[in-house]
Amino acid sequence: MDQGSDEDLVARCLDGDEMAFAELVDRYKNLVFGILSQVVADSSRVEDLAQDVFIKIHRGLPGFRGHARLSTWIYRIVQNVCRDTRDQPPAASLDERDEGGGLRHDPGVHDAAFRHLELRDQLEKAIGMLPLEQRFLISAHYFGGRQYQELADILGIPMGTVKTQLHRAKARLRLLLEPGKRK
Amino acid sequence: VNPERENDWLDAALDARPAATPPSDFTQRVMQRVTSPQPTAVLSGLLPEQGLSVGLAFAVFGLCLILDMEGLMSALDRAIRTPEAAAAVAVGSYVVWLLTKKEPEAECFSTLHSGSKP
Repeated sequence: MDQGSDEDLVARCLDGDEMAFAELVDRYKNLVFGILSQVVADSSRVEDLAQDVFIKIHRGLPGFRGHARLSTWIYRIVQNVCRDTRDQPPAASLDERDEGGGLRHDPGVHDAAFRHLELRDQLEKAIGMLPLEQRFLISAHYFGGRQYQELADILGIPMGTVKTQLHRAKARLRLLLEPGKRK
Repeated sequence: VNPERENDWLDAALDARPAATPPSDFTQRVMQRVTSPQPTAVLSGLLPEQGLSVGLAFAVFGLCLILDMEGLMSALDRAIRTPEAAAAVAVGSYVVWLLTKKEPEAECFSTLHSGSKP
């Protein structure tokens, strides 16, 4: 893969170089696909949505002024696509929760590897109960490795709001996962 | 150590969260969509002045059918009675809209502003 800068890649795309756009897709497809797969509940839609993201990038490149980093701009488009999906997975049914409101865990599970899988499964269910924008923040921060300030730039909100939203999301996850947390 | 993390079990679990990877031919599929003309892209491919001319021609044609030299007072009445005229206006307006609309700049969540304190 060409290791040229994003700025060079964008310039080549704007010159009509289709290979440059293919390089851009190669460079960012894992990121886009990963974020979408973590945010959108319906996994069968992830590829279509990822393609939509790159179509929007292709159409929007002529208007990309370079005021923000290319990755920041792409995150915004991913976020808009997520928002447009109106993806609201159903909350876990009540019979999946314990008396304290947390997700129920099987007390008979002792094997460490299996417990790890169980926690992962419970985590996915708990994240599915979060509002879509908090799911996006969680994914962009942990999977995408975006820091608070960059998340604020992506979303166009104050950094304090990013912190608040992430704090709320994690507090909600702790509440839901408390019975099964692992130190 | 990331100072923005609490580095506890939840951070570890979130860090270890699996994410899907794209299929091997993903880039090819995207490039196929990018290079194959879409219905709106065909219209957008017209020169702006050509598109506007086509749209305005439809609109004027529709208006002429409605007015039909009888004046503005009966226009609405005739529009109701001549659906093809109204359809021509609608098509013309739609074509103008298609040709003049722009890809919206990426916007941000506005919902995050509400109910949260920085």
